[in-house]
Amino acid sequence: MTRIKLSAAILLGLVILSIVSGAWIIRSCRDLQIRSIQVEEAWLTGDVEEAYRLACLLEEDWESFRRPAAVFLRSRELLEIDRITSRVRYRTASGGELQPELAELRHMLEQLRSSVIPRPETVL
Amino acid sequence: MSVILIRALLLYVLVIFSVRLMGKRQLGELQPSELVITILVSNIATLPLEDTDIPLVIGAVPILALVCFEVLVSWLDLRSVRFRKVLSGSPKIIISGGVIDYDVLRELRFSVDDLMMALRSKDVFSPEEVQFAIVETTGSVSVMKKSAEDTISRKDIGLAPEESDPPQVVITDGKLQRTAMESIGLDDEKLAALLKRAGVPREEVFIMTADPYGGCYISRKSGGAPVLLKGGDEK
Repeated sequence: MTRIKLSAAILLGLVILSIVSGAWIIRSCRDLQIRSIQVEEAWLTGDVEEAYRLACLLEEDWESFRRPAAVFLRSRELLEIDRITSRVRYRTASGGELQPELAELRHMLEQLRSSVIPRPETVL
Repeated sequence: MSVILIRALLLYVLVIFSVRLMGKRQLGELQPSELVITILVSNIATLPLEDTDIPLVIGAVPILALVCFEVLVSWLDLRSVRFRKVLSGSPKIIISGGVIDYDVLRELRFSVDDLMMALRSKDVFSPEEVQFAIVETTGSVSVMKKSAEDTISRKDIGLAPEESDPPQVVITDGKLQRTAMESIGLDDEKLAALLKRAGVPREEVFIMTADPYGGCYISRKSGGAPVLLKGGDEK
């Protein structure tokens, strides 16, 4: 009976862990997407200084998400987003191709977000 | 390299824990579901071990989940006969009264060679000698020989059955095994008396086994022939 209780407790723990970690990843990705939109909006209005400040915040937010996320997600999935976020700040300052970078970042965050939601296409 | 080493250690602990959680049943003959879990666990454990890109949690979660499912399924298995039949199947009689049931044999995809091999492993060389042969859910074959072919027993020849408890190891490497001593009702006094009877000082004993009836076997540290004492019914 001890084994059964222990197994039930472990299963419950795993279910809670998957729900909590999934909810945290979804929320963090959504926050990062909102931040990237803010960067884009500031940049489009010509406020480069504000856009740069927000880009720095975006990078910080990503860094604080990436470290704990590496426990649950494959590092390959995080590496590509890591590369883009590290470029955004410089693109904002130099006025390069910021919009495509941000669009790609949002798309990758969306992919990451949907990968943790159990839907038929992600499960199967 | 050190990451892989630490991961290997953690996975080792996890797999040992998982096997212990599944219980001793796992170490004997495997039921179909247990076989599946064993194969899956061993395969999943290697993934985060050889690929550091995969977080350890991704390997640990399915291992723990599968083992927990198995424990819960085996609990359900005990509670419901119908569930047990679906999960593990049911034993099938392949020989009855020396007659092979070919339909069952075909259903089990058992060839005659497989059947004969299984019978030979039970010291049966002809189906004619068999009263009943049953293929268990684990795939092993249980055989009941016909009375005329079976080994004669004490009961058959009218000898009084001799029920005896097995001897216990009471001293190993010179150290007393208190639990074993208690199980055969041997205290320090009786042990000293046995050793005195055997003429072996306690410090000299390497291994000593004793039964509840006063019999013992003593092997000396210095080697040489062991001392054997036959016991009466002392318990």
